[in-house]
Amino acid sequence: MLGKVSRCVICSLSPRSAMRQERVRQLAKRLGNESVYPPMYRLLDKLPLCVACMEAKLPFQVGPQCLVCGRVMMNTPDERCTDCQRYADGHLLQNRSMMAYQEWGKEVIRQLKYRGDEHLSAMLATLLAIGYYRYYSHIPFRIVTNVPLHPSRLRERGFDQAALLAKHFAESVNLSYFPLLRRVKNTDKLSKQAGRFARYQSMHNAFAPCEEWASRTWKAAPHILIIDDIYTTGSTLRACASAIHSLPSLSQASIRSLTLFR
Amino acid sequence: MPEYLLYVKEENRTRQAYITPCFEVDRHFWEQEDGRRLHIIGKSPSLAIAFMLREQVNQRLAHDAGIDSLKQLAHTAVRESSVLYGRAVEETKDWFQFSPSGGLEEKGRNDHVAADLPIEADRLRRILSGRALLWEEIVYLWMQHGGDESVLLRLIQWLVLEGKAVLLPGIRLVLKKGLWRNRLLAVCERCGEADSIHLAYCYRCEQGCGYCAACIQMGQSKCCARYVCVAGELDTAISRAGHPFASGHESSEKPALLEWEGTYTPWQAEAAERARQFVAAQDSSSESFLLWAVCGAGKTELLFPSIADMLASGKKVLVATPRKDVVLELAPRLQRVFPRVKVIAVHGASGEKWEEADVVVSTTHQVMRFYRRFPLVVVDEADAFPYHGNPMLYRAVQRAVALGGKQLYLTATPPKKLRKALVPARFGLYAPYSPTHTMLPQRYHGHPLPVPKQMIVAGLQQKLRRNQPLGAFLEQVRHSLTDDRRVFVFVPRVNDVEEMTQYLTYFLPDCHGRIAGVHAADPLRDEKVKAFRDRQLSLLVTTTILERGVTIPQSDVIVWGADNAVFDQASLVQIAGRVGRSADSPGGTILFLVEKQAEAPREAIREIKRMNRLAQRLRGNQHAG
Repeated sequence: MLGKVSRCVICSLSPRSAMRQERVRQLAKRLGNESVYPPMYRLLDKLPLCVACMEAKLPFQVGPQCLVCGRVMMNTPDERCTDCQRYADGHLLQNRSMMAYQEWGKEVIRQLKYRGDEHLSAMLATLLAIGYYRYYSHIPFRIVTNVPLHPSRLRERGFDQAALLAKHFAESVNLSYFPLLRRVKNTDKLSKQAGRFARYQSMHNAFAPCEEWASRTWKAAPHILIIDDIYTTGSTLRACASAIHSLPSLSQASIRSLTLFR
Repeated sequence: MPEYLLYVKEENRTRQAYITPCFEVDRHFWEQEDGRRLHIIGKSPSLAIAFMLREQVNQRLAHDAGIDSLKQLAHTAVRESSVLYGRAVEETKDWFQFSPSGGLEEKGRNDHVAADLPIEADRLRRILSGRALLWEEIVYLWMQHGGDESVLLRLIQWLVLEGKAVLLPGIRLVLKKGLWRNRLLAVCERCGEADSIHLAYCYRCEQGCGYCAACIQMGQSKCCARYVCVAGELDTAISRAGHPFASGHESSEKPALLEWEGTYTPWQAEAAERARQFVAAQDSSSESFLLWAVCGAGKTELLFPSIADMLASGKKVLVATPRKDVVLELAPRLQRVFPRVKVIAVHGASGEKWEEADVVVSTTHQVMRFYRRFPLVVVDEADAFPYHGNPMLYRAVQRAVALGGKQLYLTATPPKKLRKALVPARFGLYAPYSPTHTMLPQRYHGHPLPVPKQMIVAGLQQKLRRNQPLGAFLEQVRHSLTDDRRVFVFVPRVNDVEEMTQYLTYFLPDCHGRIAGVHAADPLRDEKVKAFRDRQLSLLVTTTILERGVTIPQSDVIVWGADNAVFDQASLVQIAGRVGRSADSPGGTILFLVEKQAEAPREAIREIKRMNRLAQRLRGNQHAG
C-alpha cells in the first residue's frame, strides 16, 4: 500500500530525465572509491530526487574531517578537532555524518519528526546507507542500533523515527538491527536546553542497555553502529556508547555512530 | 490510552450499534427515556477498527442476530483484519486488539455525568460550528475559548449522540470481502485519498495504524486520530450579533452592501446577472454553476452581485482559490467593495484562521477544515494546479458547502469534468448560457483574443542544447523588443530555464542584463516578476508557474516546446491569455514552437478561435437587438 514516489521530494518535479544516469554515475564516483561504486550507484539512483536537486540541495560533507567526530576541519594540522581532544571519553570510537545540517536538513527533519511524515524515513535511510558505504564499508559491524526515545515521548509522537531509520538502513545494507538500548530518563527537548554542559548533564545516565544482551557471549569484541538523525555536540551518542559499554558482555565492543546531519 | 466501546442500543425492537469513548455519557443520554437497553459488544483501542466493527454489526443487525453472535462476528473481523494488515506491512503479529466484554450495562455505573454537560456541549458546538477538525485542533480551539480539556471528549460524545456532530477516525479501514480473497482497504476520511496511506505501527494507540501522506501538511490524519465534523449554522452566526441585518429590517432600509465604483460592459453585466440569479434562486435544481469567462474578462468583478446577494440575506460566502498570493490579493479587494462585512484571508500561515467572518477567502487546502458551513462557495480558477486532476480538493469544496448550498465555479479553462456536467452542447457547439452555466467569451475591452500561431521546428530541443540559432524565434523576439514590448518565454522544465536564459543572452547580446529566468523554487521570483513589470527586464524565461495571475501590459508570449506534456490545453489557453489584456494594446503575438504536431496546442488554438467566434455572434445579436 506504500505510495510510489514519482516526483522529486524537494522540487516536486519529475525525477526522470535524460542526463540522470550520467550525473548519478559521476556523483557515485565522487562519493566513494571503486570498490563501493555498485551499491553507491544503486542507492543514489533509488533516491526520489531529481538530478538538479541531488546536485544542488544535498550538502554532502566534503574536505578533511576530524578522525573522531567527523567535523569538517579546514586549515588545521591536527587530526582531531579541539572538542574531541577535550571531551572524547573513549566510549564512542568514531562518528560520521552524511550532510551539513542546513536549510534542507532542517526542513526534512521537521517534516519527519514534527509533522510525522514517516515515509521520509525510507529516503533518509537510503542517504544513511550511502554514508555507510562512504565511510564505514570496511568495518564488519555485527549490530546496528538506534538512539532510543523515552516511552512518554513515543506516545506523544506516535512513532520512533530513529528506529525506523535504523531498521530501513540495516535492511538496505544487509546488517542486523537490534534495539540495544532503552531510555530511562525523559530529557527535555534539545531545543529547550542551553549549552554543552547542560546537554551533557541531562544525557548522563539517560540510557540503559536492554538486559537480554547481558548473557550473550562473543568470540571477538563486536563492532556496533549507532544510528541517529543529528549530531550536535555528541553527548547523546557518547551517553549511548557508555551505556552499551556498561554491559559486561559488550564492554569491549567498538562503537561507532552514523548520523544524517551535523 | 483511550479505548472505544462498541455497544448496541435496543429500543422497541429496533437495534443500532454505537461507538463511544466514554460510556457513562451514553448511558446518561439514553437513560433519559425508558424502554432502552444497551448491550456492550466489546472495546478496542483503535478507532478505525471500532468503526469497521460498527459497520459490520449494523449490517448483521438487519438480519436480527443475537448479541453473542455479534461478539463472535466482531472477534472474527478483528482477527481477519489483523492478518490482512500483517500481509500489507509484511509482518505477522496481532495488530489489533479487541476485548469482548460483559453483557448489559456493566460499565460506568458509578461515573457521574456533570449536570451542565448539555450546556457546555452547546457552547462547544457553537465554537466548532461549520468545521471539520482533527482532535489536536479542537483541543487548541477549545482552550482558546477557555474550555477545560478534560471534559472535551464527553462534550464531543454528547454532541455526537444529539446528532449535531460526527466523530470519525482520521483513516477509515474497510474489510472488503472478495470472491478470491478479502482485502483491508484504508481511506482517509479527511481528504478521501486511498493511495497515499502509509501503514505503520503507532505508539500512540499501540495498534496497527496508518497515516495519510496526501494531506499531512494539515496535521496527521491517522487511524487513531479523532476527526470531528460539526455542521455550520446557516443563518445565525455568532458574529452576527450587532450585524446590520440581524434585526430583519425591510430590504429598503438596508444600507448598500456593495460599494463598487466600477461599471460593467453589457456582456459582463449579463453574465453577472445570470450568476446572481442562480445564486438567488431558492429551488434551483442544480447546485453548481460554471462561469466560463476568457482570460482578461474581469472575472472577479462578476462575483460582486452574487456575493452581495448572499450577504444581504445574511449568508456566509467562501471564496476558494488555489494560491496563497491570490488569497492575499483578493481578500483586501473584497473588503474594499464590501466595507460593512468582515472579510478574512485564510491560508496556512494566517492568523485569522479561526475567526468567524461573513466572507472567507481561503486557499484550497484550508477549505478542508470547513464542514457544511457556507451556503455559497465560489471556486476561483477551478482548474489551476492543486485542483487540476486532484479529486481531493473537489471533495473538500463539496464538504464545505452547507446542505442545499451552492457552488460557483469560475474559470477560463474548465476541466472536462465540469464542462461535461454543466455545459450543454449540441453538435460540439457550446450553448452561450444555460441554467447551469454562462459564458463570457469577450474581454472587458471588447477586442477579440489574440490567436496563437503554431510553428513546427524539427530538432527544437537540440537547437537549444547545441546552441544553434533558430531564426524565426530570435526574429520574433527581436521584433517584439524593437516594438518596446516585453516577452515571456515559457519552457517546459526547470532545467530549461537556465539553458534558455543563456541561449538568449548569447544570441541577443544587446539585451544583456535585461533577461532573467524564474521557476517555482526561485527565491528571487517575486523580485524578478516585479522588475519585469517595471520594465527593468524585457525578457522573462519561465516555467508554467507564471501561466496565470500575472498581468503585464504590452507583452508577447513564446512557448518553446508547446508539445511537451507539461503544457496541456488549459495551460496553453491560460498562457495565451497573458497577451493583450489591456485596453490600449489589445493585440499581441503568441507563438507556439513545437517539434511535432500535438493535440494540446492544436486544441488550445481551436478553443481560442471558438471563443472569438462566439463573442462575435453575441455581439451580432446585441447589435441586432
